[in-house]
Amino acid sequence: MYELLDLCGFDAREMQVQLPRIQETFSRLGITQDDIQTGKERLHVYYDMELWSVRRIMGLLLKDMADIVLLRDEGARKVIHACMAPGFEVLGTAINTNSEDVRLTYPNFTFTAILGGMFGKVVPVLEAAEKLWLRSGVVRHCGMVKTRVGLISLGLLPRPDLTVTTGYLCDTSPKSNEIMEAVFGIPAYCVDHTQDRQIADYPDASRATTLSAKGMRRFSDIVRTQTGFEIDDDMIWRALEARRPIRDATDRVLEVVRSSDPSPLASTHLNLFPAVGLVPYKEDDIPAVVSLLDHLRDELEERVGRGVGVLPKGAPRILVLMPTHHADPRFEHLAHRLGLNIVASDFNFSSGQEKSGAGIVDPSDPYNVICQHPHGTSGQFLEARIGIIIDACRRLGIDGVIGHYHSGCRYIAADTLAIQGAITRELGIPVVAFEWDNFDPRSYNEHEYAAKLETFRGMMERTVKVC
Amino acid sequence: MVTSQIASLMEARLSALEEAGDSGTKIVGYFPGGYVPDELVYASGAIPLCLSHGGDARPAEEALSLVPNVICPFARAQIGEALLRTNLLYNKLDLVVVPCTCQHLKQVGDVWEYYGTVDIFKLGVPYDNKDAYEIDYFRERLSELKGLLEHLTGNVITSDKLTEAMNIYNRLRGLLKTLSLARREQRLRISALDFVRLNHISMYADPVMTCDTLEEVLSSVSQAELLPEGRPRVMLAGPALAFNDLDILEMIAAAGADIVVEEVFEGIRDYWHVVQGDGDPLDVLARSYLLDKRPAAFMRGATSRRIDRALDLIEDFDVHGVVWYQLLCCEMYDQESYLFERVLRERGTPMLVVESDYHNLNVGPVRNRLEAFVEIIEGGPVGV
Repeated sequence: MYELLDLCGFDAREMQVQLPRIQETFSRLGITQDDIQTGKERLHVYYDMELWSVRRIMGLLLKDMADIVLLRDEGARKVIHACMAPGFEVLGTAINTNSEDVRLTYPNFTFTAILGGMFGKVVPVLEAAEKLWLRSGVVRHCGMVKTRVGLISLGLLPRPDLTVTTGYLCDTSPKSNEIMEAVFGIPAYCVDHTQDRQIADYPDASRATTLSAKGMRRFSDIVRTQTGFEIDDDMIWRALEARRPIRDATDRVLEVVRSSDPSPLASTHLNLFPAVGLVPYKEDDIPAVVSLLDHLRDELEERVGRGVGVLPKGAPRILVLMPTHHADPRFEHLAHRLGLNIVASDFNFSSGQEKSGAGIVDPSDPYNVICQHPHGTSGQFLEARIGIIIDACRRLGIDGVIGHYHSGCRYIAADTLAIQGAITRELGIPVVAFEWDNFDPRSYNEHEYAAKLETFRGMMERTVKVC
Repeated sequence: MVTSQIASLMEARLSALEEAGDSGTKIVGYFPGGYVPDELVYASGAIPLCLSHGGDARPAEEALSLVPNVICPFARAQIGEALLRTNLLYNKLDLVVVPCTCQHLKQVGDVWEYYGTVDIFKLGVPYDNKDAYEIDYFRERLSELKGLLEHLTGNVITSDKLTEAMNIYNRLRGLLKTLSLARREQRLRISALDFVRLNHISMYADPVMTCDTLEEVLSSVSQAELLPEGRPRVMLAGPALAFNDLDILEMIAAAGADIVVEEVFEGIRDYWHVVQGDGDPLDVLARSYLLDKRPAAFMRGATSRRIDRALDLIEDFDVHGVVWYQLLCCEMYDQESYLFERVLRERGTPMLVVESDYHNLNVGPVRNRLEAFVEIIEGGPVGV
């Protein structure tokens, strides 16, 4: 255990505080000595443990996992569980900073990164959900929703007093929370949304953002009635302000990854950034997170300065559709071994409205400021998503696209073939498209993926780009 | 008799479509699920067509060139019809209204918009209706649709026209409801197949002509020959029962049971609600369609209300078992089936899940399962 915590960047003082907490957490999650050994080995195989900041990021997520598991022991009277709920990390910061005993958690990405990525132990969680209403098989329910239902049904998370999700991309998540309400008695809330934007509207998303903002404000009313804690607008403004540097620092790291040749960081790490970015930190904890991300950027820039990379200079630059795998680094590791430089996911890009501020209909409403995710590729309708992706490919000098579509997400998976056609037509670069599950390691098939990626690499070598 | 009546209605509709080009009449299609008010399209003077074909593997397979098979076969069939262009009902459209309900239908709208040659209007349906802002949102979208229809047809949709359309469709729904309620009797005089085919033709046919036909059917049904007695009474539930997707009905009948009521989202016209209220007709439409009618599975917070509704139907229609007819990859209904089965088991009502991808449903395994299910029902309630 000491070795693991040391590997994860804990110093002696932190170790003293965290060791008993993490021991207790592991005991509850069933993480054994053998698992710890496996975890250490996986960290060395899949992650860049030479980088102090990568080690610290693993430590940060490990601590977040303990914070979540021990919530009740450490005084949380009411626990709110958020999942597939972009923007709720901000409300989480507002609640966790200002309430003594109400806590909002956003556990999924932490658990997939640690239980899955570090320990390779997420499958029993998925199987637990499959024994309930998220059966396995051709229906292809989302692995992220399975992770949530599995963790709660197995009692690995403190039983929440309220679940919250959104319908921005999905019907599975809201329906699953409703069934949890019926079966486990946990009240469920879903932020309302519609998906009715079309070409004539683009890039305007004001209808969607305004409706979602109202739904998010209604959530705050529900928190008041369910927990007695009142979230006021000032708290949210402060949380927004406090969290903005996390996003900025993450963008700086990603910019170094995307703009450097040779690449200074393997793509197995890319799933760690959404995990770090969605933890609903208390405001006081945020400067350390920003400092950690800035330190990572410094370490990467230092490598770039020395001309050191994790792949040879000139390795083909790849964009992936959907993020890299959240619970299993093997696919990215395989791509890396085959010399493919995955530099970004389409989820990293948007119509640009959000960042320019032009998409904010009512700047005096903090909920409206939060609800800008419909501008991102993941929240767009087909034609808009295609436009953003093609633009990103051009800007990043992409040589090929891997469309590993998350079959559980109908909203996004269904776009894949149209995107493939458009990229091939407009850019003349190869696109390999195949189905997988972003949260389920069982979709990994080494031989199949190796054959696909080798063919894909060969196609890139023979490709003359249109642009 | 019903068969010839339905054929006449379809023939009349196809003639009207043929003539529409010459007369300048516009044709407006929309997808089913009960969230696009037929009244609005009808009041504009356009020909309303609720595009609800399915059950045939060919169009669903054709769509696989554009979308992966994680999209349900009903939604894929809508894409496939547009690609194949062999179905007259899908070929002459001037506008298609896509209700943004489930993810699959939403994708149909995206694909038709991206590849298509017909104008698309995406009708955002809020997933919840607890607050006024959600009704307002829907009302605003209906108002935009009204403007678009007026622009397309060159006709102003007056309050009088809209009120007249509401009366026509209320009459249509009322007649279907009366016919449906007749199936509460222990000895049936109309089969599920005939009832569903009448319901299905109402998606395409002229509503006034359909009402007249339904009145004829109703007046003759009391004299109709009684169907065999003593057969188990079944409710059919699920996401979609498309126009022409009739195998499951025939198979249940062949297995020895009678379907006496359907609880289906897409493909069966929702005849339980009445569009009514005072004030602005658009307000009335928005409230009636979003708030007053029984919620579909995609509506947030709908699950428990839907179970209550199903239990009421089971009680009211003296249902002995439920066949949950689900389409492949329908993630919402697949989840709900777990809860429905659990609740029904507690009260001793057996439920069977049958899944279809529009391929060879009528083959051995499903037939055997249906026969076994009927035998179980006949043996008495499960768990009692």
